[in-house]
Amino acid sequence: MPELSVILAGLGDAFTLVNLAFVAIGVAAGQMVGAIPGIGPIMAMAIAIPFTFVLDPLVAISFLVGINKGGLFGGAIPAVLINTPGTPDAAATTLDGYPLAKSGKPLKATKMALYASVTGDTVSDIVLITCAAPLAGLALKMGPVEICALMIFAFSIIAGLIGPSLVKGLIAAVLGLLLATVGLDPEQGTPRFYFGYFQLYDGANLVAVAVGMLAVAEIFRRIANARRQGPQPTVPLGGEGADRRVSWSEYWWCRGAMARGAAIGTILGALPGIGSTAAAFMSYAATKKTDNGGVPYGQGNLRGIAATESANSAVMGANLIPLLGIGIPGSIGAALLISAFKIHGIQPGPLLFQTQARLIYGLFGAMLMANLLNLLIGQVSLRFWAFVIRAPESVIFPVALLFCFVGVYLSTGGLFGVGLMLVMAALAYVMTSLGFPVIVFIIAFFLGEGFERSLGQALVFLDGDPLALLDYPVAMGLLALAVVVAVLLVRGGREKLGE
Amino acid sequence: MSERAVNRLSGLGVAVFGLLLMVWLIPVHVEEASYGWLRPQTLPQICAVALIGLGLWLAARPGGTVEIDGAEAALCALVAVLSACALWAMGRFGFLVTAPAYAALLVAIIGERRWYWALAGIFGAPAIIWLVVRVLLERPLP
Repeated sequence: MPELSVILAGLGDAFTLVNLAFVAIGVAAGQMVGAIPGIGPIMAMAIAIPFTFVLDPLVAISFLVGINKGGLFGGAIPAVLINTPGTPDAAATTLDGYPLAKSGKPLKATKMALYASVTGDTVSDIVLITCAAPLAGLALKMGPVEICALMIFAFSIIAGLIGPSLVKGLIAAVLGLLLATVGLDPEQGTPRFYFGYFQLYDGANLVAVAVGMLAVAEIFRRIANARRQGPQPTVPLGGEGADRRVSWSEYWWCRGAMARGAAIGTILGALPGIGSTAAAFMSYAATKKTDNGGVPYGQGNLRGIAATESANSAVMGANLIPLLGIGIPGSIGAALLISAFKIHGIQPGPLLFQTQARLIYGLFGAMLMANLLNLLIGQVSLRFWAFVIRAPESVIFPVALLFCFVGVYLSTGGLFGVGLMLVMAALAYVMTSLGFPVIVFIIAFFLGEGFERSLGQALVFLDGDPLALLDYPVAMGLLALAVVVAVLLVRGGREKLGE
Repeated sequence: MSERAVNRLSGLGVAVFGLLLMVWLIPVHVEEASYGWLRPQTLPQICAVALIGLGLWLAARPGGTVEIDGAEAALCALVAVLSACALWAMGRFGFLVTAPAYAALLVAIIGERRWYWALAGIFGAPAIIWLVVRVLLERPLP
C-alpha cells in the first residue's frame, strides 16, 4: 500500500485546473459521442488516444476515462428520445426510457438515466479504489511461473467474449496472438514477420491496430449504410412542471433498483469479458422480477431506467480492477487504456502501485471528479445533446475518419502506421462479416506479447519440465481455475445466447 | 450462398492460411534459433497448428452467424480503396490538399444533398483537424 503522502499528492494532482478541464472536456465529448448512435465512447477513445501523447500521463488518462464515463450516460439519450441506443450498453434503457419519453416525460427519463448512471459509476469507483491496491499487492508476490499461469487464466477469461461460435472465437484469439508475434522476439531479439518494413520491428502498433479495428472499420460500415438509413423520429424535449425533473422522492423510490444495478454492474465489471450490456439486462431482469410497484415494466417505469443505467455505468470502474490489479484488460475500454498507458511509457499492472502510485491515485481522484462533472454537464447540456442526435453523418464520419488518419500518423510518427490501420480495418470488417469476434482478437493481441515473455521466463524457471509445475501450487491453482472459468464462461455464454 | 457454405469456406480459408504460415511464412520470415526453451518460431508454429486444426474443425462442423451484405461490402471496399488512395496522396501532396478531396468523396458516397452540410463535411472537417493539430497541438500534419 502506498504511503499516505503519495496518495494525497496524487489526489492533489487530480484537482489541478488543467486536469479538471480535460476531465470536463472528456466527459462532454463522451456524452456527445454517446448521444450519436454508431459512434460511442469506445470509438471516441480509440480516435482520441493518439492525440493524448502530447499531454501529461495523468491528464491524458483522466481525459480518456472522462470520455468513457460521459459516453456511458450519453448512450442513454438517443435510447430515450429515438428508441435507438447510442451505445450497446444502453439497449436495455430503451425498454422503459422510450415509453416514458413518449408519454410526455422525456426530460424525466433522461435525468433518471443520468442520476442512476452517476450513482452506479460512483459505487463502482469506490470498490475499485478499495480493491485494486490489495489485489496488486497479491499479484506482486507472484514469480514468473505464477505470472505465466495468470496470463493463461487471462486468456481463459476471453472465453466470455467468444459469442455463439466457440471455434470462431478460438480462431480469432489465435490470430490475435499471431499478430502479437510480429516484431522482435522477446527472448532472443530476432525479427519475425517484418516483411522488410523496419517499422514492424517493434511489433504491430497498438494504437494503429485499435483505431483500425474499433473505429475505422465501423466508420466504413456506417458510411456504406448512410444512404439507406433515413432520419429517426425524435421525441421533442418537452413536458411540464414535475414531468421535467426527477424529484428526490422519485430518486429515493428507485434506490433499490440502483443499488442492485450497481452491485450487478460492479461484480460483472470486475470479471473480465462479461461487459456492460449483459450487466444492464441482468439488472433489469432482476429488478423486474423482485418489484411489482408503479407503472408496469416496459411502459415507462422509472425503476427500469434506474436499474439498467446504474448497472451499465457500474461496469466501468470495476473494469479497471483487473487492469490495475493484475494488468489484464477486462473490457475493450480497459484494453484501450493500456495503449494510452503505453504511449506514455507506462506498463499497466500491479507494479503501477509501487512505481506510479501518485499517478494511480491521481486517476482515482479524477474518476470521482468525472462522476461529479458527468452529473453537472449532463444536467446542463441535455438539450444540446438532443440536438446533436440529429447531426448529419456527412459531417460526423469524414471528421472521424480524418481524425483517425491524423491521430495514428501522430502517434506512430509516419504514414506506415496509417496504412497498418487501414489493413486492420479491412481485416476487422471481414472478420465481423464472417462472424469472428473482433474483440477477442484485440484482447488476445494485447495480451500476446506479455504472454510470450512470461511463458519464456516460466520455461526457464521450470527448466522445460512440466512436472516441475507441481512445485508451484499457486500456478497450478490458477491453471485449474483457467480451465474451470473457460468451460463455465463458454457454457454460460451459449445458454445466454440460447435464451 | 448459404450460411453453412460460407462458414465452411471461411474454415477452409483459415486452415489454408495456417498451412501457408507453416510451410512458407514462418520458414522465410522468422529467423530461426536452435537454442532456448521458447524459440522465435515456437509460438508462431503453435498458432499455425492451431489455425489448421480450428479451420478444419470449422469446415467440418460449420456454425455461427454470418452477416454478409453485398451492397454494403462493395461500398466498404470502395471507401477502403479511396482511403488507401488518400493515404498515398497525403504522402505525396500533403494533408491540406488531399483531405478536402477525400472528404468530398466521402460526402458524395454518403449522399449528402444539403449544400451547407456538404460544405461543412468537405472543408469543415479538414479545417477542424488543421486547427487542432497545427494550431492547438503544434504538431506536423502529413
